[in-house]
Amino acid sequence: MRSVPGNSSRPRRLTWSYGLLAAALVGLLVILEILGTDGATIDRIFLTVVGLHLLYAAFVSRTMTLHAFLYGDQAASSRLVGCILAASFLCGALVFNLGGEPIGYTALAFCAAGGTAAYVVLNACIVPHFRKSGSSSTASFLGDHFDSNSVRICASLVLLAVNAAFIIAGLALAATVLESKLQVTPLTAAIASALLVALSAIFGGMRSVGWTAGPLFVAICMGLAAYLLLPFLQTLGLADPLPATAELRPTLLSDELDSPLSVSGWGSATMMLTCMAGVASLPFVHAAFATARSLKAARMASAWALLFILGIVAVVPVLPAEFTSSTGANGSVLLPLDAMTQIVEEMLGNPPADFPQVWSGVVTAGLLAAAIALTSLAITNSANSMSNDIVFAWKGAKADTASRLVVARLAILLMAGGGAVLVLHGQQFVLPGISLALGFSASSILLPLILGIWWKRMDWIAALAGMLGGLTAASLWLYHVSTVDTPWLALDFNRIALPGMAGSLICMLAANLVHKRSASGEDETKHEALHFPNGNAPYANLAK
Amino acid sequence: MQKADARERYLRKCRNLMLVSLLAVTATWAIALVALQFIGVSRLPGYSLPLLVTIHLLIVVTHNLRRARLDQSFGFEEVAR
Repeated sequence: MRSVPGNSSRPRRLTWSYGLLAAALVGLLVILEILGTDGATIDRIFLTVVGLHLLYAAFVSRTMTLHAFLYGDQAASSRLVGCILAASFLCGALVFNLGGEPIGYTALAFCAAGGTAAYVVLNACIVPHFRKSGSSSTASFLGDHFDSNSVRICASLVLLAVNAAFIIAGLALAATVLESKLQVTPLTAAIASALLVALSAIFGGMRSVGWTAGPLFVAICMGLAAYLLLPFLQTLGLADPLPATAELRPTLLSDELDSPLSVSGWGSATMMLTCMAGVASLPFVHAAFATARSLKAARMASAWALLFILGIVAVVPVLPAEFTSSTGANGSVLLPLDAMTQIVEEMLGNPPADFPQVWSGVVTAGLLAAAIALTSLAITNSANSMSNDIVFAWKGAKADTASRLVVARLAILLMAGGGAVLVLHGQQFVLPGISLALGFSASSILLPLILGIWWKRMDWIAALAGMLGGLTAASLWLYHVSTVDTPWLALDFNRIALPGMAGSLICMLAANLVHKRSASGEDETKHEALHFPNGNAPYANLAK
Repeated sequence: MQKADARERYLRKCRNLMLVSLLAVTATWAIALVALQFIGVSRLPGYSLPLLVTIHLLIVVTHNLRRARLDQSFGFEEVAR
């Protein structure tokens, strides 16, 4: 089933209904506060109602069709895909910033610049061809393109590991927010966040992701706007400046935390390259583009994502220092999440003077929305890949839809449960996990993907060699970094993508030389089918 | 022969467009890094990051417009599977 009549406007209606509901709720809760309702009750009412709206949006997107579960009906507009991408980007940035290594504005700015440059690479080199191929995941694209189950399985395993790091990070952020705000135990917070994420993805897969993206993005924007309201009022002279000890204060970002490496040209360039390659190779980012309704929508989605991200980063220079400077305490990459808990508690504490209590609920909902947006996208992408690229890889189209969906849904439950356990018992690996995921993803996926699209002579042996070579080179570099104080070329733990990509490229070229061959007719046909807009009949229009 | 020439020309133009977009990003980064090296971190304006994101956005929009014009000039209509 290619399209679902009447469903194309559903995401828009859900987005508007969320905005109206949240605005009405804010008004109602302000009145309740005036009437004497206590702050904790107000927070719980707000979070419960917006949480129920999210679950309703996820539930009405339920489906038993594979096309909806894998591709979200391929009905998403470019704006909607942009919302999904921007929300995921923001969550990644939040986790990176709230609990990562101590970094200053310069390093942070170059990371973000590298991350946004990834959308240029995606738009120019990968996304149109990926969307045109009709694949639902990076692994299935590579497997189909090289006509190799080995490539598909290898890419799926990398995809699962990379997505797992982001699932755990998103769950950690959601659990931290719930624990801080609702004063519940870490176990309850972890279970609640895993349930929330699982329920928001399990009914409709990618369709759920698409339909909840609008409401989640509105929640993020409302949370950010609420958080920045006081600094803006102070900047405009409409609010009294807070005393020096106050938590919120408008200030330009500090570069005190920047290390000599992060402010050097080499350090900044390598950080930007790492972030660009890492984000451009993330499998769940590719999956979001697969839901676009057309090639044109897939292309424009990058522009919308950048526009939304620009709207968010344009306010960065006036953000309070607590929001923008990192909270890491000891300079180690293996930081516990205590730092994140502390900053979240500070952010979500009592609202500023003269602000209603619901302010805190709105900010909490924004943080939770960012976490859910990233996690539900990554978990759905992983579940789809587990079902179609691993369990049913050899059956191909012969596997029946019901079995595929059952396996995908079980995978969602499994990964949400596993993520909750890791959030509880492996916190020290959550934040370094993101750096590693970016590094390994770029090392193994990016170059085989780009060269597979743009180089006719790439075959499955070269692609497999590139993936395994990239993984090996990145692993060896990780070992090197862990054994010396000053890594060679200053490529530290956060920059293992660069040696990994070099290893991947060398292995691909070597495999291509050893297995020397010229492009066959089939290669030519595949190449043209990917590059010519009208698919398998590239000559039809030219002949006119 | 004529068809093959047109096909090759189209592919070459698509590839060049892709390379130009990547070169534009590289040039932007080079300027930002030179500014970082010579001006110094403390004198970089706070709006450097929004400016970089804006430039990336402009590159994407320009790429898409050029690509749409290219497809149009070769008589293609974009169809996805």
